[in-house]
Amino acid sequence: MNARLTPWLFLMPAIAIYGIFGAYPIFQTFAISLTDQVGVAEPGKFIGLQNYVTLIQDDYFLNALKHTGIWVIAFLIVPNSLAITIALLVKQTFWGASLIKTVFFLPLALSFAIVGVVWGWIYEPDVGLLDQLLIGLGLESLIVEWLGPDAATYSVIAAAAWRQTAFATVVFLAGLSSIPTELIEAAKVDGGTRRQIFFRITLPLLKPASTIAVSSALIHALLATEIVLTMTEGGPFGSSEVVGYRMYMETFWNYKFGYGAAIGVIVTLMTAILVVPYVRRMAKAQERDWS
Amino acid sequence: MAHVTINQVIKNYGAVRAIKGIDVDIDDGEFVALVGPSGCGKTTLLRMIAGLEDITGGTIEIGGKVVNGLQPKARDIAMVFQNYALYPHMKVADNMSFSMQLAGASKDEIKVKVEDAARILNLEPYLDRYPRELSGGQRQRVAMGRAIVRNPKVFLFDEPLSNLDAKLRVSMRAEIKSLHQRLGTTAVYVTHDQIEAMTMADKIVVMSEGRIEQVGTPLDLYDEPANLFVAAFIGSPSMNLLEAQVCDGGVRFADGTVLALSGTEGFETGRPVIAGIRPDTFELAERGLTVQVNVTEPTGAETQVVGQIGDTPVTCLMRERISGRYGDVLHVLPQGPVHLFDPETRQRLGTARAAIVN
Amino acid sequence: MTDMTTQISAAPQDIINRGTLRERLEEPFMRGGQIGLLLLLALVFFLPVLGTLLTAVRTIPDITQNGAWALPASYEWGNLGRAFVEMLPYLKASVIITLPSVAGTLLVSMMAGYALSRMRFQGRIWMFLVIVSLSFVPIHTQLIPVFRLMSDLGLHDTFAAQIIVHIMRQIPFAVLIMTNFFNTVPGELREAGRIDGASEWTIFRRIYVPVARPALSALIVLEFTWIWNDLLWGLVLTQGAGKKPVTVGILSFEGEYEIAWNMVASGAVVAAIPTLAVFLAFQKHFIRGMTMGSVKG
Ligand SMILES: Nc1ncnc2c1ncn2[C@@H]1O[C@H](COP(=O)(O)OP(=O)(O)OP(=O)(O)O)[C@@H](O)[C@H]1O
Ligand SMILES: [Mg+2]
Repeated sequence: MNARLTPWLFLMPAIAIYGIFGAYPIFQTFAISLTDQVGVAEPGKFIGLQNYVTLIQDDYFLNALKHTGIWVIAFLIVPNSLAITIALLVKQTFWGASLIKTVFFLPLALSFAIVGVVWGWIYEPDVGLLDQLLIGLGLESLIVEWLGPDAATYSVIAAAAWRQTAFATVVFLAGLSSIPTELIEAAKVDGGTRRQIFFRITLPLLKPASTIAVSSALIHALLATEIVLTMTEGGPFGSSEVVGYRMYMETFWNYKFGYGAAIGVIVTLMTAILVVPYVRRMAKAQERDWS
Repeated sequence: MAHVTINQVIKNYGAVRAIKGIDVDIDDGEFVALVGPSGCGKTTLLRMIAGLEDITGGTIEIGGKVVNGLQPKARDIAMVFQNYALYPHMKVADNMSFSMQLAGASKDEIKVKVEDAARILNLEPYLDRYPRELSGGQRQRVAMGRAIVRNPKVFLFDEPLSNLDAKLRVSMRAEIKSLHQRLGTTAVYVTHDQIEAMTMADKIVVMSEGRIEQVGTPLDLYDEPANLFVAAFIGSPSMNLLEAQVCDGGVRFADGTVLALSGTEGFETGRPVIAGIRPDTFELAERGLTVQVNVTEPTGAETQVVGQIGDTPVTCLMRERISGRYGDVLHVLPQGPVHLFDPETRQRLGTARAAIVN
Repeated sequence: MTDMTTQISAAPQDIINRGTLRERLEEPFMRGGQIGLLLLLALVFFLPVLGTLLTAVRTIPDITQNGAWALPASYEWGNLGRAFVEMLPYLKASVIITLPSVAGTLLVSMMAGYALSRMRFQGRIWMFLVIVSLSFVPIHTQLIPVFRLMSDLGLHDTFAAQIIVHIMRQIPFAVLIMTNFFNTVPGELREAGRIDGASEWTIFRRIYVPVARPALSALIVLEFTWIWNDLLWGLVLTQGAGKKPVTVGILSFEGEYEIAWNMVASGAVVAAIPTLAVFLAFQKHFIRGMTMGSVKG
C-alpha cells in the first residue's frame, strides 16, 4: 500500500458518502435558492437574489424570524440556568445521585415527536395534565389557552426546554466532575468560604462546559423544526412559526423549492455565525494535540 | 544476527534537521547503547533503523543489505518500546505471538516459541493474563518476550526501563544483559541514563544535537573522553572542568594555584586549557586547590563535597568522613589523571598526571 | 498543657471540614433546603413522564370524570397492547432503518477517525476542521437536494434512502468522536503492530477496533437513539406507510385517535420504549458518549 495514499483510502468511504449525499446537496441548496424552482419535476429558471428580496418582505417569514429570536433568547437562559442549578444540587447533596440523575437525563432518550405528543396532552385544555394539575393545586387563575395564539410559542419552547435542560445537565455535571476535588480542598485549606470557592474556582472552571451548553442551545433554538411540526404546525394562525419550520412548509407543502432553499441558506448562515467560535476552539485544541 | 551499518544518515523534520549525518558500525552480536541528552535524536535514529521513520539521507544496512526503503516487517528487527505498547485486548501469549500469527505460523510452532520465551523470562504463570493484570516489571518482560519470539536479527530498545522504579531498573538491567549474552543477538539500546549505558553496553555512542560526539567502549569513554561534552556526560557525578593555563611543569588555575603535572611538557607555556578532574580522584592535602564548601553529603561509604573553586562549581568524592559546613575551606589535590581540553575547539588535548608534590 | 496541644492540632482540621462558624450554623438548613429543592425539581421534571404513563393505562371516562392525575380506576393494559399492534409496522421499519444505519456509521467513521488520528498526512488539520464544521450543518441545507437526488435515483420511499441519509448525517459527529478516542490510544501500538508485520488494515482491524470497544459502545447507544428518533427525513423521504419510521407513525397515530388520549399516550409509550430501554440499560455509555462528543443533544 502506498503510504501517501493509505490515509485517503481510510477516509474514502466517509468522504464519498458525505460528498455525494451531504456536501454536494449543500452547494445545490445555494444554487436552487437562486431559482424559482417549483416541485422536483423540472429545474426552475435563474432569478438571482429575487427569493431573498421576497423573503425580507414576506410577513410569514418575518413573523417566523421574530419567534426564532424568542426561541434563542429563551433557550439561552432557561435550560442552562436550570441545568446548572440541578447539576450543583446533585453534586453537592449526593442525594440519591444515580436515580435522580436518571430522572433528569431521561428526556434525552425521547424523540421530538414523542416530546411533542406528550406535551400536547399536557397542554390539552381542561382535561390535560397541566390544567388538571393547576386545578388540583387551586391555581385555576393561572390557566390560559396554552396552545392558543398568545401562548403557543412559549408553550412549545417549554416542551423543548425540558429536553434541552436534560442535555445541559449532562454537560454541566460532567464539567463539575472534571474539577479535581484537590482543587476545592486546596481552596478550603487556603481559607476560602463556600461562596468564594464557587465564584472564584468552580464557575471559571465550568467555562468549557458552558461553551458546549450554550452552543447546543443556540443550534436547537435556531432549528426547532421537529417540535413545532409535531406540536402546533406553526399555528394557530402562525403564532408559533419558526424559520426552520417555515422552510419545511414552503418546500414540502407549497412546493416552492427555490424559496424554501433560500430560507435553508439563511438558517445555515445564522448557524454558521454562531458556531464559528466553538469550531475555532476545537481546532486549536486539536492542533495542540497533534503537534 | 547481523551487523548494522549506519552511513551518513540524515533526518529532517520539515526545515529542522534532527539527525545531522551519523556513521556507526555495529558488529554482529554487539550491544550498543545510544546515549545523549533529551532531544539529541536517539529515538529518531532508532526509529529509522526500525523503519518507523523515513530516512532523509544516507543509508542504513542490516546484515549487509540496505534497508532504507523496506517496511519494518521486512527488516527482521524487533523493538521494545518505552511504554511497552502491549496490545491491551490480547492476553500475554497473544501479545507475544501476534507477529507469528500474522505470518501464518502453525499453532504448534507458536506454542513452542511462546513457551520458550516465557521460560526464559519467567513469564510462564502469566501467559493467560491481560497486560492490565500485570505489574510494570512483568509488562516490561512481556514486551521483551514479544521481541524474543520473533527471533530477529536485531533488537531495538527505546528506554525500556525508564518507567520502572529504581530497584527494579537495576535488576532488569542485569536481566537484559544476561539475556543478550545468552541469545547473542545484535542490540541497539537507547537510554539517557549513562550508568545504564556503562553497565550494559559493549559499545556506547554518545550523541548531542543530532551528531555523534564519540563512539567507544564504556571504559574508553570514561578514560579518554574525546571532548568536553563526553567528559561532562559520562561519569557520575560529572567530571569537574576548571579553567587553567599551562605553566612550567604543570598548570596554573585561575585562583593562582599551581598544580604540578607530568605530561604537559609538549604544550607551550601560557596556553589556556580546561582541566578535567573526576570527583573521586581528589584527596585532601595540606596545600592544593582551595574548595569553598557549600554542602557536604555523606552517603556512608564516602562523602560528596559540593562547593566551588573560585567561581567554578566543583564536586569532590572523598573517602574520608568530612563534616564541612557552608563557608568552610578544604584543600584538595587530584591523585589521578587530569584531562586537558582545548577551550576553543573543546577537543581533548591529552592526559596528564599529578606529579608527586614537593 | 495537654489541653492546649489538642486544641491547636484540632483547629486547622476544624476549618477544613466544617467551614466558618456562620457556615457551620447554616449547614443543616442549607443541606435540607438543597435536598428539598432537588426533589421538587426532579418531581416537576418527571411529571410529564408520569402523567403519560398514568394516562396510557386508563379509560377515557375514567380520565374525564376523575381528572388526569387520579390513580386509574382500573388498569387497562390492553391499551398498550392495541397501540403496539398498530405501531408494529412502524416499529419494524424503524428497526430496519436504524440497525444498518448505526452499523454503517460506525464502520465508516471508525476508518476515517483512525486515519485522522493516527496518520500524518497533508491536509489533516484541514480535514478535521471541515468535519467539525460539518457536524453543525443544519438538515435544512440538505433536505431539498437530497429529496431530489433520491427521487432521481429511484430511491424515494425506500429504506435504502433513509439509511444512506442517516449515515451521511451522522458521519461528522461520529468521525469526531472516533478521532478524539483514537487520539487517546498510544501511537506506539500502531508502531508495535507495524514491527510485528501487520498491514495498516490489520492494525486497524485487529488492534484499534478492539481497543476502541468502550468508545464504540458509547457511540452505538448515541447513534441508535439519534437515528431512531429522527423525524424529518422519515417524513420527507417516504410516502407509503410501510417505509415510515415510528416517529412518523406516532404522528399518524395521534391524528387517528384525536382525543382518545389514553390511546395517544399508549402510542407514545410504545414508540418510546426502544430508545428508553436502551437509555436505561446503557445510561453510562450514553452519558459518556455525550460528554466525549458534546456537540449535539
Ligand atoms: N515528529 C517530529 N516532528 C518534528 N520534530 C521532531 C519529531 N520527532 C522528533 N523531533 C525533533 O527531533 C529531535 C530529536 O528527537 P528525539 O525524539 O529523537 O530525541 P531523544 O534523543 O529521543 O530525546 P529523549 O531522551 O527526550 O527521548 C528533537 O529536537 C525533536 O524535537
Ligand atoms: Mg527518546
